[in-house]
Amino acid sequence: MDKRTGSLFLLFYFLIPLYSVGVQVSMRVLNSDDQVTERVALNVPFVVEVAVSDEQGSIQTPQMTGIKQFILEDKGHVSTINTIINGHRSTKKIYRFSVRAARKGIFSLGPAHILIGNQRIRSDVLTLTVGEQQVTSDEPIMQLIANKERVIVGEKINVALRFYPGKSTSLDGISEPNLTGFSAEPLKGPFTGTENINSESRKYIEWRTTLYPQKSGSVTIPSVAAVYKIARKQRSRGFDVFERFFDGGLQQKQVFSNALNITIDELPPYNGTVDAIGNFDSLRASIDHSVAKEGEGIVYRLTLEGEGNLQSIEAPELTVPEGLKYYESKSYVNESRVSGNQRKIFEYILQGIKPGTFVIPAQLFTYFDLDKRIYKQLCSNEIELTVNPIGNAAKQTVTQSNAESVVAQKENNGLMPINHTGPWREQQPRQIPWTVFMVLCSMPVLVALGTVGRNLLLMHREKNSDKRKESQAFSVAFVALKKARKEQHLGKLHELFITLFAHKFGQSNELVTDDFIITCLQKGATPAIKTEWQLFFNELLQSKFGYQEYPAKKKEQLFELADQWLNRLQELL
Amino acid sequence: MKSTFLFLLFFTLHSLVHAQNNQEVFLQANQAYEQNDFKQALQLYDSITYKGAAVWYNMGNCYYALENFVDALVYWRRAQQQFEPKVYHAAEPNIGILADKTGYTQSPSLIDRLKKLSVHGSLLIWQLVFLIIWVLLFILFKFKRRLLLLAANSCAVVLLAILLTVKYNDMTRHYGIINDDASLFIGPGEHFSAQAKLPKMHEVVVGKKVAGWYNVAYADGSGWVPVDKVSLIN
Repeated sequence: MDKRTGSLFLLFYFLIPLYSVGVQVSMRVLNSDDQVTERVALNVPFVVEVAVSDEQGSIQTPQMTGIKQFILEDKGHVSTINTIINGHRSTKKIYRFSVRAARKGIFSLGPAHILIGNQRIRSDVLTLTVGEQQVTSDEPIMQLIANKERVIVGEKINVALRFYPGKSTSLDGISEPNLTGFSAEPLKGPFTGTENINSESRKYIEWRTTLYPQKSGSVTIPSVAAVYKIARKQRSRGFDVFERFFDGGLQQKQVFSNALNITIDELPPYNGTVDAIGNFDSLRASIDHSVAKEGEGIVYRLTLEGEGNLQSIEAPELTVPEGLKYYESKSYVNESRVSGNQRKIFEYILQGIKPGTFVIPAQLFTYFDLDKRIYKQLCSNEIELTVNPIGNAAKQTVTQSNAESVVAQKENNGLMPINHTGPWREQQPRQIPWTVFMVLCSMPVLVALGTVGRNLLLMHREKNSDKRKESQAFSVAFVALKKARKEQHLGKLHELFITLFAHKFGQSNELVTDDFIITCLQKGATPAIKTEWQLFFNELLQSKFGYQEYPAKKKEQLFELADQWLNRLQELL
Repeated sequence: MKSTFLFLLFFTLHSLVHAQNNQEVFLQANQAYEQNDFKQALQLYDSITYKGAAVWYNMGNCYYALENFVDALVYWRRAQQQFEPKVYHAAEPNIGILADKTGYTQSPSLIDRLKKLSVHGSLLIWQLVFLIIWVLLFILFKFKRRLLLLAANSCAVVLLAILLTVKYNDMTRHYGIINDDASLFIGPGEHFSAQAKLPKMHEVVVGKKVAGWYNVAYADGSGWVPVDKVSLIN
């Protein structure tokens, strides 16, 4: 086992050096035109290219001795080229590092080296000279210009990016400047102009910006690239037609500006809060309502006019009397219509916690005056505010001094203020369901109609009772007879006939006498019938009022007779 | 039993949390409005579920500030349709201001005046008042007390009946705002002849919808307008 391991180790020991013999590492420095150079301009990016040829496996990025003397801007761009010649495959891996030099001088760069197995493969060492940018009259130039190279934190610096076109060049664009460490306004431009360079008048195109350093120290603004097109110097005649067709015989190139080193000093010591740095002219205070309700929001504005980094100035803290409280609202920069100067407006929402008349004191604004290099203070005007108790809105008055102020109940645009109290959630309308409501409404009507109907019915009955009695007299009599017969109650027969005549002739029972009945029978009955009736009626009287007890047969005869008489009377009457 | 209790507890808590969130959004939206960030305020108001009268009203104010006057009118009217007296009366002058600003005028009819009157109480109140007056009328009639009182009561019943009818109609009808100058056609299609012009911001009663057309009615008549010309209030 140990013998076999030893054999493998020996095999690797001999094979790896044999493999690495074919590996080569080379290094070169290229300028912006991709031409090999030994001289580069200060702060202008250049490329260090390391090529590793015949490398088969994956290895780490090559290391370079002396690279730390420069600023590495791009940590490597790798490309691989594979070639097969006569069946022999070779590979070349190219590493490109974008670098710039921050110091002038002569520097040694290299060797670049890689480690394969335990063998380190090295390139040659290069000597690089860093100096000022060489400018020729024909070539385009890019310049980064600042009006100050030493400033105080927050002090304004005007910076221009200037491109001087060369002969037969056209600008494609410029790269975004790296302005880390500054608060910068957006680039404005392009502007055009002319300048004498080496007693030669040259036109330029310029972009401008304003920078405000945010912290002290030395800050470098790296060079900015301009990409332009220029006519090709050498053309391959054979493909001239195609080249003209595809790119018009132009090639794209880039030129780098210088870098800018700016020294930023600290502000002089100050015992207090510094609100801004610049040259400021005025600080004014205003409110939109001079009279407001308790708890109502009033906009309080502080307008700062002058020169400085207005965008970055934060809203100063307010001093307000007890009984008022405030919230920061918004701030914005615009141009004064009167003076044309830039101004920043800070808005606050003031609220009266309790009713009364308050004087909002003058607000102080401390800044460092860049012209005189001293701290100064601006002081705003005082503002009087009346806070009325809730429910006393009607008593609000509009002060004449503030022509713009409106009735505190309304907003600036005249609208009623927004609702703060709700209901913010949809509420179902409280109501009695319409069907139930209609039923409830119809109840008194139904009751009334019922009462009226009942009364009408009673009236109708009362009105028609005699006729009804007359028409129903015999049927009632027959029913009564049937009932009396059933009960074998002879006494009821007399009452039955009295009632019959009473109903038939519309009289009360008390007024029906023998004579009345005879008078009634006068019309249709013969004297014999009258006599018969007299006998029958007397029999009925006896049966009712007499003491004689009738046998059953006699009773039946009387009931039969009564029935016959009812039938006869029905015909007669 | 236990699961029912847990479900009820969950449901109650969920409702409370939901309500709380909506209220927070409402307050945030108000804050955005106060800071003149009307678009943000609108977004926040719009995210509130089951919007109440105050939300619609505030959205109207936002649209007004953004100079979208048609939507401002639509939202204020939508707020009014919630029949919340405070909001109704706040929206009223705003609509007046809008009318002054845009030149839009729609003279109030007797029904509009009754609508305003009806807002003073909820529907329930009006229904109860009507029922009381109605029953009183029958009692007075039954006992034949003072003819003058009976007459006054009868008038009150008639007035309340009209008021309730108006309110009922207002609640059940659909209203819309003409969002752009539109022609009023006699049928649902452009092949029908146009009978009148409806000016922008005119309020109409919206009826049935047929093939992309609304049947609308207004004080001077009725007809058909394309659906995209009408912004619905309710």
